[in-house]
Amino acid sequence: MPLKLVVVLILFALLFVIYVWRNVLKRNLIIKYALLWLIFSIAMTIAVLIPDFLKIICNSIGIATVSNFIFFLGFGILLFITFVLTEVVSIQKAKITTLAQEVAILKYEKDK
Amino acid sequence: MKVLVIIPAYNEEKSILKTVNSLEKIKLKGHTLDYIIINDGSTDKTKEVCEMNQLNLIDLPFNLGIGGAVQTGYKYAYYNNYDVAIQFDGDGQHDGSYINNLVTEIKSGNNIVIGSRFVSELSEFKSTKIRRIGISFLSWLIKVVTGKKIYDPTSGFRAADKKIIQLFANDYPIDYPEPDTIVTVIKKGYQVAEIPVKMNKRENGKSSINPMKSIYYMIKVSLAIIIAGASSKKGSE
Repeated sequence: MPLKLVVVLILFALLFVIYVWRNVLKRNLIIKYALLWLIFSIAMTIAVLIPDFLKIICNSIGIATVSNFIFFLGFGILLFITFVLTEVVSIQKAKITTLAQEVAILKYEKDK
Repeated sequence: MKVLVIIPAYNEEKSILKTVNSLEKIKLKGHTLDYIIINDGSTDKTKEVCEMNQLNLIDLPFNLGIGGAVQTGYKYAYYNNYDVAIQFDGDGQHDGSYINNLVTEIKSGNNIVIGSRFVSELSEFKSTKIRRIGISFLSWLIKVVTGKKIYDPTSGFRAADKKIIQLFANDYPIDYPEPDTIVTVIKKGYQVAEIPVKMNKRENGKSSINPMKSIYYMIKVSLAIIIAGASSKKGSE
């Protein structure tokens, strides 16, 4: 990989980490999810710095090119994250429903 | 026994007062009959109409869907120690004169009693052929999952005893809740009965199930029935 590209990609990873960090400080992102994205960017950095590492994995599971492996991995991770998000939304919907019901009942009892 | 009529209302400004007036005429021998309206974030004047006429109104802060609204009623019934809770539509579809029969069936030991359109010839309820096919399919699916035939699984006119009130207060599906709650109740070993009722054509407002959504509805409800059948098995042991 040309050195220029390596520098650019690592810069991207670094900017992303800073962005995540700022959001954690602003309380826009809870640590649980920040951790997920930090691991993601660390993995990206490793892949950029040591591409041979990916080649070894590719050879051992029988994938012809590294780019195919990256696409496969990226797609899989994104699907998984999307699934987790729908799960989180479902749980939150149930909680919000309960809250709305309890508030409405309390309001009625208070005004009666 | 203390009986509570739960009236979920979404955009029922034209019919809600009439529904409550018809309920107030009903006398149950030896029982007290209260009602509570659950306004499910209506965008019309349902709330104003209720407040102007001083009706008993629990006003949800936003729209939860029919299941969320009905469950609010079950929670209220549970907190206030009611013996029987009756689901009753706010749109004039249900006939209050059958409440007596529902309560009698609860008193004779049934845990949940469904006011059914199809259990006898009494009903003149005209529904489209497609809807009838849909309902009989759901009926068949419930028979497969539970072994019990329920003729009108989508009926929203039902009575529940104290045990079911507690069950529903704690866990109730958010949308299109009727068929899968019946499966849950049967699977948990409760006694379910159906009695014939006459239903009116809805006077105002639209069905919560419009034709566009009916295929989606069928798939979703079928899945909900199968899930209810699979998940209640463990709980009953």
